[in-house]
Amino acid sequence: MSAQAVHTEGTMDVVGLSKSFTLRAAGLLGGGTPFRAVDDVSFTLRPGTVTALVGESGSGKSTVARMLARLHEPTSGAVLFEGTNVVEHTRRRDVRRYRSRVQMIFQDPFDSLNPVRTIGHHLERPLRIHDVVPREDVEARIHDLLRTVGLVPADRYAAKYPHELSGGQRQRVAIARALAVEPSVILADEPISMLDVSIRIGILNLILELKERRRIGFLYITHDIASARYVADELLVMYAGQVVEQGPTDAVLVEPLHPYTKLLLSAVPHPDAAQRGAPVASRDTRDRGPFGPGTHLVEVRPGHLVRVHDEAGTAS
Amino acid sequence: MSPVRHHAPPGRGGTVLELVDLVVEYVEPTRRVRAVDGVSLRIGAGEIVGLAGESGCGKTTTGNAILQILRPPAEITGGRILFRGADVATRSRHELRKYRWRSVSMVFQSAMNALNPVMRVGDQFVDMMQAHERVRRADALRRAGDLLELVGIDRGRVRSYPHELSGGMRQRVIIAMALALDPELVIMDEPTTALDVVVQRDILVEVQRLQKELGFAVLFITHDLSLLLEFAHRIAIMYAGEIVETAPSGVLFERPRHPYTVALMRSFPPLHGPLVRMSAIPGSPPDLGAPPAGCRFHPRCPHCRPEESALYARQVSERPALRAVADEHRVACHLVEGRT
Amino acid sequence: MAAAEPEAHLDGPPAVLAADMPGERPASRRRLRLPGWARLLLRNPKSCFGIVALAAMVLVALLAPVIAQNSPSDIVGLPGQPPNRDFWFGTTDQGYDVFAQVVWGARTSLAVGAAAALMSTVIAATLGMLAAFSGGWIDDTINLVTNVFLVIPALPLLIVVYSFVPQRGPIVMVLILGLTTWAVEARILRGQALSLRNRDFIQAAKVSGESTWRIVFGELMPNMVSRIAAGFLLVFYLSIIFAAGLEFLGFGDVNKTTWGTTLYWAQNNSTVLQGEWWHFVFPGVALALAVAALVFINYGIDELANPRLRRRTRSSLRRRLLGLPPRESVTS
Repeated sequence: MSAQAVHTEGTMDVVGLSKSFTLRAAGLLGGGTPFRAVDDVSFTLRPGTVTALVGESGSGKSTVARMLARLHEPTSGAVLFEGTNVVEHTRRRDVRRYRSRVQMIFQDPFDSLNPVRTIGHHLERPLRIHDVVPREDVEARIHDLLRTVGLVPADRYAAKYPHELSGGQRQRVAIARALAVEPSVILADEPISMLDVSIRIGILNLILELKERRRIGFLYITHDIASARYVADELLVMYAGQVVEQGPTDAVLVEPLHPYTKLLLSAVPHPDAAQRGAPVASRDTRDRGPFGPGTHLVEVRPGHLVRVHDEAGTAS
Repeated sequence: MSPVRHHAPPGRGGTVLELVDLVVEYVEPTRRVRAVDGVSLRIGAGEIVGLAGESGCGKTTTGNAILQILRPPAEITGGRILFRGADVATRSRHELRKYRWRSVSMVFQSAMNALNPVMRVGDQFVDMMQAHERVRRADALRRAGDLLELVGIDRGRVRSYPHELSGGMRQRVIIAMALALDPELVIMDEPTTALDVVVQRDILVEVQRLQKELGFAVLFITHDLSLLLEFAHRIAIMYAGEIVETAPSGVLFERPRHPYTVALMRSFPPLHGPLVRMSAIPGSPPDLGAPPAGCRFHPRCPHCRPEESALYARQVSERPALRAVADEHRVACHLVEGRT
Repeated sequence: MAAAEPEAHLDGPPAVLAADMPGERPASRRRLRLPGWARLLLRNPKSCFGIVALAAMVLVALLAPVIAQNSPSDIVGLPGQPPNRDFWFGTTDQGYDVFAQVVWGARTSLAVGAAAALMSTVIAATLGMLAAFSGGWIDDTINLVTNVFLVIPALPLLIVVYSFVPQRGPIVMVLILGLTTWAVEARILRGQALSLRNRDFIQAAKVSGESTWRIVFGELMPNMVSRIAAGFLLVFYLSIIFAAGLEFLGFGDVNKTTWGTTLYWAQNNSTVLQGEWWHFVFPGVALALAVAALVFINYGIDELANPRLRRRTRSSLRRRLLGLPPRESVTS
């Protein structure tokens, strides 16, 4: 991974991103234990590619996305979007500009739309806030967006309320809303995990198409490593706030180096037991591999990094 | 308190539960919606039977019907539920209380929905046991400890509150509660959907172990077919309120016959093997208030083409019946001829 | 990765057409329909009664000059008449027309209640949402102020203020009522706004670049409308009662015509002892009816806010009519 940021259009460099929360202690006088939700995460998101963050709940992957969406403030680290560190932005104008380039899709299709507003309203707001098209063209653009995500006839859908749509349709609306501002980057936080199985592929294909046609960079957050394989070019495996392995998707899946990655791969249900990787590891966390303080990432193959103990040298 | 009993191992012990043409309707002032439309299913002692389908197919309603916990406006309006040969629906309120939890129990999707957040875990066990039998609190607590150990939790956790346990541990507690009165059938409704894949595997392996040791049968309801293919003995696929295919899991994996089953299996991106662009099933599940005539899957079926007029005519007008195509393998599809 | 298919947006035919979706009505049947919430309120028998009763009273109040031929402040007949053909509600012991007093009194009583409720609700909603959304010291300050106002008992405060205020008209009444009733609602609305604040659709609005102001009033508040409406109705009928109470005790402007002042005069002139029941029964019933109407409308609003309270199925209604016991359906 290069140490200097690449100043091409639409590129996002995440450098040493960390986030600590303070858990309130039981005492009345406050003082709290700090909890490191995200610990020194670095990667580069390039236009026209999908980078997947794979991990279980509590791994910090959603927190990373929310920091990139500026819903949380990082405790330390930098987010360089087209060369500028957006963490330092304080002026409304700069923030608004960032929001016109970087958008987000949320996990719960039933919660990410306002139940008392029409679909048209959800798409109109970003168009108006960022003046994407002149006022007289707004309605036409709304219909265009709905057609792009496959919701036709567009004018009927625009008049509907969220509760009249299925989960898959709502998620398409969420994607349309993200597309409204013509972003360079879309942060997708578990976009399919709450959808029916047969609907998921449709959404994943839509993401692939948008990536290829519009050269949008996607950050795809998931706990389902198989779906990550389907869409992602680059894969990061997270555990307890840290990246334990990262690299091109094929490289990481064909040759997993970190014990936790192997554990994840072996846990995926599959009828054919022979297809599984190494036998299931025990629940004992000590067996899960190097993590925590006293570890760092080393590049074992070109582009393929794994976390190792500082003293030792190898992961397995 | 009786010690944990061992039921007959799988293969012996006969049929625990049989559904015969079960019909469950949601009765509203303006219309009746058939959530479950003529479902027949048999569960043998010690068997793990999977019921797979997507949201709205009626699988959860089926589970609730078996346990007789349907809430209005849902009502059982047809068919029978036979537990060990006896009709469940005709039981009195008193008999139903014995039936629930002692004969059949349930594990719900979200532990936090089933556990009282302001009561300690042990107290919830005591509560539940005292509701079903006369037992002293001390004995009930001891048994609660036994049950926690059974599912791999330290018995000291009897004093914990639910929020002090991890998600996986809470789900184990729910499983322990479901096993507390030694039922013959445990219905599990999406028991691991909210859990991570590693924890999920741990729990399912645990359930397999318990099931072999104690001999109870399981009705495993989930949308995740890949889980069932690995963990269930037999699988039934549900679509729009009907069962469209049933087979032993190995057979279903190798030779799925119903187009919906085939499409469903193709909806899981592969973790190994070649990576190809996959297709979603076009359209969406039907409105059960006005389901398609004939075969309910026909609007989305790639094999339903108007050009094939004779077949097409049947597909749009006649509901296919479940027909056996092999031993234990039944399919409801006009394309599939029954065994000759 | 395999190459993309040349031009399809999706796999196969487009996603569900809107016409296939559940609940879609054919275009031919489109006629003018009331919005869903209005239909729900009218379908619930309690709130339907409330709406009709309140509407009738408002109508009567508005049409006072037409309905009541006499002026309420003129002596128009023989004193002490029981209800008769000329004076439907009888006359007071001074000779005033009780019917005219009730009808004209409705104007002031209802208007004061509505105005006080409006003021109270505006303050409560603004402060409640602001506190929830801003957090930090703004939240703490608003909470402090709310708590202070909560502790103060309304009626004694009203009496004390009234004793000092030189001018005693309805405007002062509205101001005092508004200022003493907002605190309870503010706390409730703050709680609801807090629970909504972390919902994904609010976060999504933030990510879209929406300003805080528009999020609070454009996205958050529409989700709180039913609670705000319920609060408005509550303060409305509380104000009617408080105002009438104060006027009955003589704290209002006894020369203005309201239900409360009519009751004051009834009590002052000992009409009860004289057996002239019409002097206080009719204004009393009007008061009770207005309050009851508002309370009943709130039942309907409860159903709006909590969909689970709705719905009586035909099946259970039929069973009840036939005298059959309800079906066993409760969880064990």
